[in-house]
Amino acid sequence: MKKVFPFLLIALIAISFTSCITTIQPLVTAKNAVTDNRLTGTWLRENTVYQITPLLQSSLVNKQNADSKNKGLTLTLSREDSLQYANMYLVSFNKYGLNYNMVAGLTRIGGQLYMDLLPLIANSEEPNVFGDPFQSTVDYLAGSTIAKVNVDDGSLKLHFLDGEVIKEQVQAGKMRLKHESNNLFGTFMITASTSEINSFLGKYGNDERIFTKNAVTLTRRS
Amino acid sequence: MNVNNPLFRFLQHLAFWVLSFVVFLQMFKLGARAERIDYVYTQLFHLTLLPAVYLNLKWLFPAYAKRNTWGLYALLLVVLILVFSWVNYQFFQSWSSFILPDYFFISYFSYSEICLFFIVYVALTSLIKLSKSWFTVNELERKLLQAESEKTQIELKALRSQVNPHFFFNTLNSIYSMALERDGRLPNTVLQLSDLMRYFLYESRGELVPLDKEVAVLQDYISLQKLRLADAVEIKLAIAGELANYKIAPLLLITFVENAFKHGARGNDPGAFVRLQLTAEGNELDFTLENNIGEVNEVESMPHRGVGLENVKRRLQLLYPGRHRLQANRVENNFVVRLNLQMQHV
Repeated sequence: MKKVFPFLLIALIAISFTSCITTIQPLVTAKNAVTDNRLTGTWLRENTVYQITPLLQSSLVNKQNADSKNKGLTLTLSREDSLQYANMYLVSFNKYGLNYNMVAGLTRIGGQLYMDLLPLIANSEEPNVFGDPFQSTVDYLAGSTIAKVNVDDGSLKLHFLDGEVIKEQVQAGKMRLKHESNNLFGTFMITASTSEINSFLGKYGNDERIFTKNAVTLTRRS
Repeated sequence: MNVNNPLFRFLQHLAFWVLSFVVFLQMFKLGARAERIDYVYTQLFHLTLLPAVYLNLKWLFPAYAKRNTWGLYALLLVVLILVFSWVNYQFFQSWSSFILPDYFFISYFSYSEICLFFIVYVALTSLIKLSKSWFTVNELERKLLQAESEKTQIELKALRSQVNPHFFFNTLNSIYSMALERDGRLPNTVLQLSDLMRYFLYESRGELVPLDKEVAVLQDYISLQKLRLADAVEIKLAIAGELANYKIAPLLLITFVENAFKHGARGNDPGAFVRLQLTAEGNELDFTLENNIGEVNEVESMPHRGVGLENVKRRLQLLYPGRHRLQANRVENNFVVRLNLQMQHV
C-alpha cells in the first residue's frame, strides 16, 4: 500500500486535473505572490468538497505548530518564507477516504490571475498496521501545477496548462522551454526558471492553445 | 584572390556569420541536440544583430571615428546598441507571436544581457575591420615605397640621359669648329669621341662604374679640349690614389669638367686655366676643379644653360644622400668646385 500510495496520489491528481503538467520551479515566489479573499471558502465539484483557507490560518499548520510545541521544538521561518507563507492558501479535500492537502500560491501576470498548486501531504483517517493514521509525505520530486484562475463570488474556474499540448509542441521543436522527460515512463516536467515561466505566461497567457479546453469549475458552497 | 575582390569580401563576411550562427546555436540549444526552434531562434537573433553591426561598420565608423569625432561616435554607438537591443528584446517578447504564430518562445535574456551581446559584436567586428585596415595600410606603404623607388630610378635615368646629349652636343660643337678650321687631328678626334660615346651609351648604364674608368673618360675629354685649345688654356691634372679599388656613379664628374671648359677656358682669355685635382683614399673621393670665369659658349641655347650642374646636384642627392659635400663657388674671377663623397670599395 505504501508503495502504491504515491502513484495513487499522482493518479488522483491526474484525475482531478486532467492533462496537467508539472514544473520543478514554482510560478509564485515571495516577490510576486498576491492574495485574493474571494478564494477563501468552501467549494464543491463532483461531490467533492474543497476547503480553501489562508495557509497560516489552516488547521493543518495549527496542528503542526501544536505538535512542535508539545515536542519542545521551535519552528523558525526565514523572513522570505514567512512572507511567502503569509500569502499562500491551503487547499484541502477528501477523496476515497484520503485527506489531500495542497499549497496554492497566487500571482498576477499581465492582469491575469494564476495559481501555483503544490501537493503537500495526504493522510488516511484509518490507522496503519503500526496504529498511526497513514501519512504520505512528498518523498518524490515536488512539482507545481499551474492554472489560470477566474474567480467570482459564485465560482472558481481553473484553466490548467495542457501538458499534452506543451509536451507535443516541445517535442516537435516548436516550443522552447527547459524541460526533462523520461521516455520509459513517459513523464515530462518543465524545468524552466521561475522568471522564464513568468515571461512565458506573460506572452502566451492569452493563447488558449496551451491551456486545457475545459476548465475545472468549483462552485462556492459557503 | 585579391583581398579587395567583392566576392572574397562577401565570403569573409559569410564565414563570420556562419561561425557566429554555429556558436550561438550551441549556446542556445536546451538539449543534447539542437531542435528546430533552436535554429529558428538563432536565426532571428542574428536578424537583429546584423543591422546593428553593419550600420556601425558602413556608416557610423567611417563617418565619425575616422574623422576623429570620437565623442559623437561613442554617443551614436550607444544609441545604436540600445535601440537594436530593444528591438531584439521586443521581437522575442512580443512581435514573434504575430510573425511566427506556430512557434512559442520568449526572450531568454534580459535587456541588459542583450545589450552586452550587441556590445561584444560591435566591438569585435570593429576590431576586425581595424585589423584589416592595418594590413591594407601596410600593403599601401609597401607599394608606396616601391613606387618611390621606381620613381627615383626613373628620375635618375632621366637625369643621366640629360647629361649624355648635353655633352655630346658640346663635343660636336668642338668638332664642328675643328672641321671649319680643317684641323688634321679631326679623324683621331672623331675616334676619341667614338670611344667616349661608347662609354656614355653602354658602359655607363650600370649603377656604378670603376673610378679609374670614369677618370679615363675625364682625361679623354680633356684631351679633346686640348686639341681644340692647344696652349691657350693652362690645363693641369693631379690624380692620386688606387682608383681601381673604388666604384662611383657614372658621369658625375664629367659635368664639372664640361662646365669648366664651357664657362671658362675658351682660349680667348690669356689667363684661362683648368686645374683638376682628384684623390681617392680611404673610401673618400676628393675632387677639386678650378677654372677661370670666361664668356658662355654662344652655341649652347638658353634653355640648356645651367642644366648640367643642377642635374649633378640632384643626382648626388639621390645617389649619395648624406654622403657627399659639394661646394661650387665663385672666388674672385675664378670658379671653384669641391666635391667630397663616400665611395664604394670594390
